Amino acid sequence: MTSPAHPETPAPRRRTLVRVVVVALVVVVLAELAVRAGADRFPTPQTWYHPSAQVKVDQMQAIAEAGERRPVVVVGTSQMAMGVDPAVLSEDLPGHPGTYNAALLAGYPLVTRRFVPEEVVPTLHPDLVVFGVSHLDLQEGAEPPYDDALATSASPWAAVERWLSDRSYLVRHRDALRNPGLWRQLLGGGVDGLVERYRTAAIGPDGVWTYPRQGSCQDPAVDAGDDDLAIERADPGGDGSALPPVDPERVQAVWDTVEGLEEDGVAVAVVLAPLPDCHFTTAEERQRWQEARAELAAGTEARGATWIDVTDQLRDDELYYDTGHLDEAGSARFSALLAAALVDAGLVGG
Amino acid sequence: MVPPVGVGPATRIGHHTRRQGTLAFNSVQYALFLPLVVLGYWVLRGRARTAWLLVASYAFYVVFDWRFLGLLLFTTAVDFFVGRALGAPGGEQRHRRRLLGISLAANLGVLATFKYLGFFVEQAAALLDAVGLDGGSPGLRLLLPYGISFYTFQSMAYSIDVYRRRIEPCRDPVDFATFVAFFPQLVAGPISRAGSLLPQIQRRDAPPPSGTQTSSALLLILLGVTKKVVIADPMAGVVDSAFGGQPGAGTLLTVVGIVAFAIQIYADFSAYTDIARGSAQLFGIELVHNFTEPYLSRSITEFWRRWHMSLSSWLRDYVYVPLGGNRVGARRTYVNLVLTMVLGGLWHGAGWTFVIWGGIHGSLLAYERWRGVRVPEGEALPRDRELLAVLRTFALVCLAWVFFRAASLSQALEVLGNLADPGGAAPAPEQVVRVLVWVAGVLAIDVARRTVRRPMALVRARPALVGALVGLAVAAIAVHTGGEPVQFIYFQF
Repeated sequence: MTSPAHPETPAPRRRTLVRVVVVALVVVVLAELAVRAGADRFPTPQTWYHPSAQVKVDQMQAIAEAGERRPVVVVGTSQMAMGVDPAVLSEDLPGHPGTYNAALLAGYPLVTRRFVPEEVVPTLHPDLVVFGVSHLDLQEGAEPPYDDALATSASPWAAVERWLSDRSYLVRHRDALRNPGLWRQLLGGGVDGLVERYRTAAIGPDGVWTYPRQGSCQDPAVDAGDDDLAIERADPGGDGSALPPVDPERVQAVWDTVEGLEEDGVAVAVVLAPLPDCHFTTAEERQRWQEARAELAAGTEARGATWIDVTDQLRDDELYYDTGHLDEAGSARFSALLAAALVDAGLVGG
Repeated sequence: MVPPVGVGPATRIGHHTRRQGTLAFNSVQYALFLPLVVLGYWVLRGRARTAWLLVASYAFYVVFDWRFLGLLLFTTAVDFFVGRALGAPGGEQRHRRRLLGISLAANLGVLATFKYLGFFVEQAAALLDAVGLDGGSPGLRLLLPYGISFYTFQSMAYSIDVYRRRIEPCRDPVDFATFVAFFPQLVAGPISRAGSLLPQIQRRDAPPPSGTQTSSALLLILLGVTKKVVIADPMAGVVDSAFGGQPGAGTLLTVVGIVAFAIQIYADFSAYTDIARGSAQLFGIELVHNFTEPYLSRSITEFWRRWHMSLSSWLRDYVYVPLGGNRVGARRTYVNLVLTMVLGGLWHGAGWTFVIWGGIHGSLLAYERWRGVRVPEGEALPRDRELLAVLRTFALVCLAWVFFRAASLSQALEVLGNLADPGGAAPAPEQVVRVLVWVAGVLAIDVARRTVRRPMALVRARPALVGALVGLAVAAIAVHTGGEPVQFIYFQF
């Protein structure tokens, strides 16, 4: 296929060209049918910026499709995703309202600003959103690729890709198809992707975090079983010398989320996400935390939302499995304290 | 301290360089742009046709980077007026030489400023530091305009050819500007000669391509897109792991990475040429070949008759021959070969790695000339007893690619050092599979191209086979696309 038709080469007849096109179409259709026939062997394609978001969106849509709702919803980052057990929270609230934990791994305020109004509110129709924030969420850092993910990108090409992906299995499963490391498994019993593994091992009903949390603040152990589900850990030996500056855009994203919810008629409680004493290895970071706490409290109250800070009762290193995330016991305690604070604030059962 | 955020491996961004908002050949935007321009071209008549092509070409360039359109216009204007003046009757030789000097100074000056100035300032500062003087901290970093190396060479060659009276000067500024800026070849070649391209642009009332020619052009574009998207782009990860991406890479990983790069750069650049040639054919314009199965070469001499042919022939005609070529005795011939290839290396970029890459090729060419290596006539596939020579040539080319690909001289030496470390990190099995599959794929394409010189004859004879191949290519493209297109490697030159 290097050169145009040579003058001496007789031109193919129209029927021949039609035949080429028809055979090409048949091959494409056969490839599509082959992928469709083995569709159950393919991993669920990741279309969200993080598998945890994809699993929770699926759960929330299932709740909506079942005609249900969740009056109380928790949002925030991994600190809240692992820190709040929705069952414990519901149990401790008067009337046991349905509770859902919609906090996401890497669910920074920049993510929350879009995720809450676009996904959480339309599916769960909450009366109250509990929004967990810590000083870590306000600092500069890697931005989660939320806006670039296929499911959430606003670009017209992403819209075209979503359209194609909805209709063609070849397109939908292309990540697996172009990975030679998976070919043998695809021909065999199939591949369990990251989304499936989050769905079965890490996120349970109502968004509860179910993946085993072993280790301690001083000695964060490698998560058992599945390295892909291991989160990036806080560094216990870090000296904190490179404290990133506060990012005004992230602070603004917190207030955009709060104000957006209030405009939708949803009550908001902004909660200071807890951290253990061992997290603070420098006076500078402690200072940063205190400044953030003061700014968040003042900003929340200025917007008529409720400020909740139970962190003084959750400083014990023993409640954490690394320097930033509560373990099962810590989660139960935080959930109970949160429930009590919500009742005290008159947000539930008043 | 790492904030406890929990972004897993699935969210990490890859190594690929991606650009947004361009009309790159592998973008959806280009798939919309090309038919629109082709349609307009054939709807219009006479001079309006060429004007339309010029406007489209400038629009194409502006979308890449509007800031450097002025530079393109400057080069075009200088060579147009120099060409006109050179063609004026009764010009004295001294006057003509001065005019040519203006063109060379303008073109080489533009290249020197935008491509080499930063490098030379850095080297001067390093030299001053080395002799104990304060060289300061050179911070000169100019943006490299897209396509500058290609269009300056093309435009400059026009002036040289008019000076040598090999072609008549172009009298029409629109025709000449279209010759310099013709969008299919503007950003990464092939570098066309005025004697070949200008008459095609000036042919005002040529009939539209026939169905056969259109089909052939579309097949060429499809082949190019397939090579780029399905072969070249997936190689990037494997290449990166050998070139600094994976610390402590061992022999096998390094070999796999280097071979992957050899495949990647060939698939990537020849894909660009295929799409450029296919696009040009839709305007009834035939661009020169740039690659004729270079990895099937039996010697480095043959390799350079098959690799980036528009550049190698340019270097031959405008550097090697003026230096004296092979008419000045054996020793000077060897020097000329090395010098020409070093300049060819520097054409790719201002850096010692490119100088060494060119030097290696120049030395190998000189060695083969000394040994009396001859390039076989014709286009027959290498015979069984020539396979060793093909493998040896490929190995030498790969070795030189290390310098071409490395980000620095120290990285190149590190990669070569890794070749001798069998205990270092090994490649993942899927990386090996990927490279082997694509080596086989490229080999199959090249053997087919060598065997089937007239693709439309194959279409006539075996429509079902061609249809099946087209279908497979479309399915493979569907699987391998998604997200922003990956930039062509030669855009950086």
